[in-house]
Amino acid sequence: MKTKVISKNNRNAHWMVLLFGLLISYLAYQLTIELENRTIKVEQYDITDQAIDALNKELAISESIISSIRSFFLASKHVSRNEFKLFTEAKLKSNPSIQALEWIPSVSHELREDYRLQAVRDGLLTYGITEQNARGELMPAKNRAEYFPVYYVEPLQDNKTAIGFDLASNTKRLATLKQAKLSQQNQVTASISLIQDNSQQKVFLMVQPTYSLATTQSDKQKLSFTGFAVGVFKVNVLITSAMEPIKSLIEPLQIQVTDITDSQNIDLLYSSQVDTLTRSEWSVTRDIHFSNRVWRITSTATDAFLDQYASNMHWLVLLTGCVLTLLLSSYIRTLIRRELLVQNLVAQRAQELQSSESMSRAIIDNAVDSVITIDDLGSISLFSPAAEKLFGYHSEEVLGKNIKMLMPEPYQSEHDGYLQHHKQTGEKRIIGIGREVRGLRKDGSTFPMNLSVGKTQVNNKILYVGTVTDLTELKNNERKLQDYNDRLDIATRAGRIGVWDYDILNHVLVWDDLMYEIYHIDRERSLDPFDIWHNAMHDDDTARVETELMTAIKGGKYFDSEFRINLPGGEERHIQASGVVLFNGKGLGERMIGVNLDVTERRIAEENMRKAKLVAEQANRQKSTFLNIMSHELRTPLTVILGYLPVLKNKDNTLPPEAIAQLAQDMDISGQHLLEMINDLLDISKIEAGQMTISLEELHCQPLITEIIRKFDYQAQQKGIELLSESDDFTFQVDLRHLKQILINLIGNALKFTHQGSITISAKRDKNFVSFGITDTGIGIAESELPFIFDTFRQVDESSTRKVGGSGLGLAITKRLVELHGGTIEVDSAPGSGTTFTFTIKQ
Amino acid sequence: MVHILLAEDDEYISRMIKLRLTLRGHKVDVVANGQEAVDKTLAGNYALILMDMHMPVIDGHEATRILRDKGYTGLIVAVTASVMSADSEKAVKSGCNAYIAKPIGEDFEDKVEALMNKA
Repeated sequence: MKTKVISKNNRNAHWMVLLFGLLISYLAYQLTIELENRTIKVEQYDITDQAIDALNKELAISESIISSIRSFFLASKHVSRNEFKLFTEAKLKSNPSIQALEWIPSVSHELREDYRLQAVRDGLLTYGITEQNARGELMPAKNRAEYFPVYYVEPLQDNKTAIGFDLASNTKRLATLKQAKLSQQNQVTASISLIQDNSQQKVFLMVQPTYSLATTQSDKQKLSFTGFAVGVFKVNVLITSAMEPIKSLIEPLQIQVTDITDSQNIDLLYSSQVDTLTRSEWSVTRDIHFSNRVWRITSTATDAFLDQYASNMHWLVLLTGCVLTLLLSSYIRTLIRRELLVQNLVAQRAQELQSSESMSRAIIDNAVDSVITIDDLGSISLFSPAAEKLFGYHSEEVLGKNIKMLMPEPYQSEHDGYLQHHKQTGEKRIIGIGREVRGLRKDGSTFPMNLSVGKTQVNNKILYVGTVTDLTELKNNERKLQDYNDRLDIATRAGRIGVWDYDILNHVLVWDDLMYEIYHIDRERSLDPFDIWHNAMHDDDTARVETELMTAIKGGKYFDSEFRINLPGGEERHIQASGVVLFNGKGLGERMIGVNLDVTERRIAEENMRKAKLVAEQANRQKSTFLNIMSHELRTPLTVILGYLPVLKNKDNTLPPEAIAQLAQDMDISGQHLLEMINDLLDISKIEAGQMTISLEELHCQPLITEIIRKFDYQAQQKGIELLSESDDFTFQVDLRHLKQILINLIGNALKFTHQGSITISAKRDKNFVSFGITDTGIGIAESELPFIFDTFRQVDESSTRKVGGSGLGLAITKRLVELHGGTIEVDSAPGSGTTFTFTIKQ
Repeated sequence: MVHILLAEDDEYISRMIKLRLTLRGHKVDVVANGQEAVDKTLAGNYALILMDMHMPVIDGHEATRILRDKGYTGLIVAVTASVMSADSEKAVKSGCNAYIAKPIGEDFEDKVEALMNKA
């Protein structure tokens, strides 16, 4: 694998970006300043140009004034002193920079006196041509061929001393005059100090030659040189007034004007803003050429001027540049970091891969499972130590050999075909999944193993990696477990025991097949067993069983219960359930395993036994009671009989015959009663012993009832009771003796307990039954006594046995006889409302 | 003449016992149920009460108990036809001094007199 690594340079790219960015920002900053400065400079040049224009204009005006004087002289044959005054008056008034306007004639020595006289005539009484001596004092000029004296001067007042001063006496001035005469052009002097002005302020002279038009003999006009028109200009005033219109513009600048005509003697003529600090680097110079002079104008910016055009753009540029640079730099830094991170990860992965490889090797070497790899021809290329141990081969023995050597038949024969099949179709039968096969050891023994094969490609070669797990132990355990399960299964099946497994925490109940069988539920289509159980449980048992279950889960450990269930068909079954709760480490019940057993048959048997026992006990008690009562009942008449016997046996008794007769009757009645009871007891015994036989015969109903009633006629008449028959006439099958006994018993009873009214005997035939009714108007029977009236020795009033007669067994015998005929007997009575007995005889 | 009260619901038996005791010179009053027995006993001055246990209204057991509850200390002898020894014991428990089984024997009068003499 090729790894891209960021070089050291790249790693520091963000620093370079930062550096370059800052540099560019700085350059841009500088450039902006430069541009700003250029703008200022242009402005400065512009202002300077305007200053020059203004100055030029002023100088042109000055020159034009001098030119006009020249023209004035040219136009006149003679210009008088007064004319000159008048001509110059207006010009002087409108040009404050003019110190003086003069006319200086060219005076030859011969005419010196004429000029003096003329001046005197003009009113200048002291006029004379003068010059300055070495000390600067004025004195009459020395004789020379030609004088150039100041002759006309305006305004006269300020320039009196100049009158008569011979400019020829001054070399510099003379040179200018001569130059003017020679060139016939305007000439200007360098700055000079005036003799008539003590203020020492600088002035310059502007000079033009004057000519007069003279007519020659040939009538040709000829220009003749007459002198010079001269203007004396105050430099400072001239420049100041020139600058006046652009005063506000030039205010923040320092404007200097120097005369640079003579490079040896540069003369500062004018300077504004003398006391303000200037920036020498902000100087602009321009030269003005006029007449014979070169003036240089220098404008120097002050801070005020610079401030006026100052801009913060350069700072903005710098700031923006820096910020962008920082952003870009940090972005690149982030990118670099991320890439470094990726690199580190890649490096780490590479490291991991390397260690993973050695780990894989270690795992293979130490794995419990055997690892075997083969190539696509089946040749073994790796045979792990575990495989050596398992198969009994050294790896040298198997490496390069075919994997088949490790397989018993039929796997050995099938293998080539399988490999071939896989290579052709790609179908996977083992690859990716595990399969149970058998392995062949070196010693020829075979063993069960799990083989899982993975397919991979290493260096473009197919490699199958097989992992072999020895299943010998597992198989043994499985078999043992299977045996155990089979045993358990057979045992539970034999015992019809259903096994359940309840995951308490997840509330999941699992049933075995037998549980479903017990609950008669089809396993395939069933609900959750818990619901089945709940639904099936008898409502009366649910709450109790749930409580028992909860008690067991909460720490009771054992669950032991019995409940009823209703099968889907509705049948009720008894289930005995037991279970054991398995607790986790925290004492929480997490699982419960138990059994269900259908104990219905056992319960029914138990119930039957219990009932049988109760019946037997009751029968026993009844028998005791019966014997007790019977004994008492038998003893009573016997007591009478036996009690009289000693009286009779006593030969000495003195009883009268009437008393003996009474005594004998009592004994007779008691004897009869005893006999009756013994007969009834025999009947009861016979019936209960099943020895009572029935001999059926066809009978007509009405004659039978009539016969029975007749038997009671006497008794009824004695008591004044009416005996009625409401019988249909029909024939039926019955044992005559039994039917008579039943009817006699019931009618006898009715007679006993009826003291007035009637007794009605009815009979009717239904399809399967003949029913008889005996209704009396007697004393009736209390409701509480009704259930017992068919019991033996039971009479409403126990004491009345003897009073009303009867053994106390009559109704018991009657009931048994009716039942012997497949019929039933019922009684309907209330105290004071009479009694009706109804019985049926089955046909 | 010794006064004896016989409480017996069976008229045949009471007639027989009264005859036998009368023949021996005893004066016998007869009642037919427990309630009468209680009333008569408390009203008269009997040397002996012969009490049948099986009687209507209130039986002999109950009558005896009532008498004893009321402070009667006279001789009460149960005459019972029951064969069950439990009944005899019950009679004694109720307050009877002794009991005689029915049917009564030839020595009935002797027994009665012996009990009275003992008292």
